[in-house]
Amino acid sequence: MIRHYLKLIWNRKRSNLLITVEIFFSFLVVFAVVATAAYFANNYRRPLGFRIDDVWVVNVDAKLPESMVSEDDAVAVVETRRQLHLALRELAEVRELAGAYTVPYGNSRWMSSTKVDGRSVDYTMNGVTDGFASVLGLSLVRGRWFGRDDDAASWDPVAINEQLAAAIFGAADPIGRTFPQEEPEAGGKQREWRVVGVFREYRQDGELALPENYMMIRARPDSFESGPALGRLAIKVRPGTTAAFEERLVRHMQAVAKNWSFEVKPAVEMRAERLRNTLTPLIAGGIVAGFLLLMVALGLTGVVWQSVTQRTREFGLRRAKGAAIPDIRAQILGELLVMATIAVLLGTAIVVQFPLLKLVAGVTAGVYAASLVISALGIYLLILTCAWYPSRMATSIPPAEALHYE
Amino acid sequence: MLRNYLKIAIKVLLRRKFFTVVSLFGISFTLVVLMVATAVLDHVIAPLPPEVHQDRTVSITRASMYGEHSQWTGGAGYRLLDRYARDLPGAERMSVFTSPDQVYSYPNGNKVGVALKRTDGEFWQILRFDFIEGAPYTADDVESARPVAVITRTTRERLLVGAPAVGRTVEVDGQRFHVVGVVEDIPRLRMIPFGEMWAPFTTLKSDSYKTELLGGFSAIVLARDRAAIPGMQEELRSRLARAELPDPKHYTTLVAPLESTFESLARTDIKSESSHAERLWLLMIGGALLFMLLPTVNLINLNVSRIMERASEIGVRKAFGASSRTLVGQFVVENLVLTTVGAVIGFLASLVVLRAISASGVIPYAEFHVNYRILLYGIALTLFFGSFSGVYPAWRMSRLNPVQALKGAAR
Amino acid sequence: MIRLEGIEKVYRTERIETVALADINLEVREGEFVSVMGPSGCGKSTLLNLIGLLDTPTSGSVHLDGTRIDSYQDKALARMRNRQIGFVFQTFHLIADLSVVDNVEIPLLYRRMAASERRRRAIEALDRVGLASRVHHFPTQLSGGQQQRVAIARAIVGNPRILLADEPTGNLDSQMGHEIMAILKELNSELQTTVVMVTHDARLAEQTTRILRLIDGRQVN
Repeated sequence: MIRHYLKLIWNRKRSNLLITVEIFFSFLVVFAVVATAAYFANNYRRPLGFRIDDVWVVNVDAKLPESMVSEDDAVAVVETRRQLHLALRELAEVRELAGAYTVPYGNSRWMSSTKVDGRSVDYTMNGVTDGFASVLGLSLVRGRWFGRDDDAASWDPVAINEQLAAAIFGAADPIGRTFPQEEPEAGGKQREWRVVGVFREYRQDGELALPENYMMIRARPDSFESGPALGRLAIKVRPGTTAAFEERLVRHMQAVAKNWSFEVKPAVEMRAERLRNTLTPLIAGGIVAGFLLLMVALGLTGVVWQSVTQRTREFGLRRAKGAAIPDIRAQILGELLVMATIAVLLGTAIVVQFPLLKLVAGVTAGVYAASLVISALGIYLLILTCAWYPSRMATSIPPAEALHYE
Repeated sequence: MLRNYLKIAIKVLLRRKFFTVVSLFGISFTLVVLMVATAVLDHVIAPLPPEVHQDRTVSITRASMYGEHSQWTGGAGYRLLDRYARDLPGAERMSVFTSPDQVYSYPNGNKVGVALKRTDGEFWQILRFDFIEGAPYTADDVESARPVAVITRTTRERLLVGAPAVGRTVEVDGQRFHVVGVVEDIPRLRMIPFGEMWAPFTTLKSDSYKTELLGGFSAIVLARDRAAIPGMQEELRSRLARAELPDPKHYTTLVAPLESTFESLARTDIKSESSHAERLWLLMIGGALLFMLLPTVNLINLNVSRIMERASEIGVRKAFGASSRTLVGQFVVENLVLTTVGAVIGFLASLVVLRAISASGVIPYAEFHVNYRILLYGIALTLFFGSFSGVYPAWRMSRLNPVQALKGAAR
Repeated sequence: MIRLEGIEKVYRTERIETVALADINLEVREGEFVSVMGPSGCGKSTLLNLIGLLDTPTSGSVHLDGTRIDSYQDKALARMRNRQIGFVFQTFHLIADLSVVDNVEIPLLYRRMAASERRRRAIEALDRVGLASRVHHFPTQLSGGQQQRVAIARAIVGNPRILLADEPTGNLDSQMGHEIMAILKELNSELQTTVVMVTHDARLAEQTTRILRLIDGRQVN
């Protein structure tokens, strides 16, 4: 039977080629939508690593020049910052507070890489003060968080996430090990970084971002060396604190650092903004893709309808020769499904090139394969929808009439 | 003849309502997407007020210092602009200003965020803002660092609640400013003029900007005419080549492209002399064509179906003396009628969609309009789309064998 | 006026060759009423299509008024069909989307002619076949006989010199068939239109001036 359909399809190859091309492009559109959705859904269900309830973020602009900072300026900045932190702790609403180079949903990123056994490991860094883990509720899986006790150490303590620990130290226990650093610049002397803790996860760009290698290095508010890195403050406020506190907070800080600028935002607001910025273009693209597919669905329905009408006599003949109504419907659907299969196979052959050519980063093979399967099913569903009404039409005319159909 | 073509086209289209509606849907939807994209692009780069002299304005927004191992790229610094970009040959005016800073004010306990841009006095000479109250501050105000500000209509609404604003005071980011003027809102995507509030750059809290080669500043330069621009670019390049760099061990070269808004959008490599604007054009045209692929195949399929359905009619016409060319003409007219109707619907739908996007506030202060330029693009796209999707079916039609067509056996 | 010389028509598909016509020599003179007879598949319709310039022979030549025309370009052939020839088909082939008068006007569309003149001639032709009262009906609203009369009006509206009818009564009952035959005969005698008609019906064939018989694509005399 399949061979019979294949023959029919071959004999009408010119029209069928165009239909196959249309299904092929539709498959690519469906795949783009499904793969994007699958990518983000897969990220979304993974652990985030931090909690942002009652966390407020302050953007601190110390109005430093972007290049050279004089010795005097540096001393002044460190002093102002020390006072700022003290002043903030006076406030009853402030439970805990930490300085950081970047905070969750912030827009800055500090990237670095290191060589381990000849291969390069990329990771994202953050310089944070001691309170950071408790403000954001990071959960340690091994070791301890850095703190006051490390003041006297001759090395710098760092904490890394599980993924980075696995990438550098493999199965071995990373606690107490030296973190391999990039070659220091000529003449510069760098302190050793020693791993004191491993935290589960910290996806700084939030729910929709891919998990990544992450390292946090201890920053001290009283040293300028880690100073420029502390442009953000993360504050855990007392539950139930309202937006009215925001103005008081800014005035309080402004009183300490007259010439600095402050921007206060609850982290949930930053999260909403980030989600909106990521999702808006996706939704716009999704709407366009949806309309494209609706257009294709209507178009194919029209094309199938016309071809069925033109072949009314053929179907009449088949029925006169003993084909039952389901047979005719199966034939119409079967022919289309064969074309859809050709289109899907062609599309798959093209789509699998992308990971092979490394054109897509961060999409796992599982997500990719699942997207392919879902897209193929989506295309079959689309085809069945398009063929349903015309195939009913084809069998609604009695065979005797169909044979005389003009 | 044309009248008959039109008559029969309309009759055929009315008779095959399903095909007509489906075709129209595809055509108008395609046009809506393309027109909306064009309108957004136009909104970003068209010479709209306040950028009235956009055709002969170039800007410096980014700069980079680099050496063998290090590269530092960012906004241009005040020192770079002040020291090297002033008095370029052929330049009529020049203005320096910061990129907008998000600052906050707490009128009556509410939090209001305002994008504050600090500028010089020339800013108001090159860009022509629409003042609804007062006037801009002057070069003298900037010179003496007077705390004065121009705000937008919306900022006035949010900070001062109602007119008149001139003479009143606003406090943002811990600084107080006297309002001297109120202007109409400026779209967020107009990078050069955009702000919700403007104040003299001399009111910046710290004067560390004066020493920066890279920082948060930009400049626009108004050329005497377009022809003067290449000379200005050349002169700036050679001045920067001789610039003294603060850290010559790491950084040996300083670059800061002087170019139009579209060119800076197109630029991917700050070190390259040309911005390769034509590459962005090609990319956009390629993107539009790629998008049109599926609608085109869809329309071709529908057109072929429409023809095959009428195989016997074509046979009759051939039998009674219609030449292939005549029939192709008939089909082309039919397709043009279809695309024109689709275009009109698409055009009206674009107006609705653009209004909805403007109203949604996804892009702050965006007022998307359809002007004659976009209309022209739309017409060009329609003609291209209509004829492209009609060529193959028309060819198929002309090739139909009349004897077989009469038998209804056309494939 | 029409002369076919050594006509052969072969249909080729990928595997098989079908000889539809072989060694046909035929001359139709001005004002003749010729009927073509023969069993199904003997090539009658193919012959008519060749005369009507809808198809080209595999070999041999077609002459009209002494000029060889089988190698003309599409445009010239279309002009010939338009000016010289009128077709009547077994299945009428009226365009369902057009009213009766619009259908009849079709051949005139491909000439330079004012719309009013077209309309006048179309109504005149409809009047000749006795359908002047059905001008604004659509084909589906008419009976088979009426539809065929519209088709004849369409065939004669351009005053062709040759009328080609492919089993014009094949889809009609005998009463209606006789009516159609009467119209054809009247056209032949009054307007001196040359008629070539393919038919199965011996009684109709007997009423014509000459009968051509075909078997398996060959002339039988």
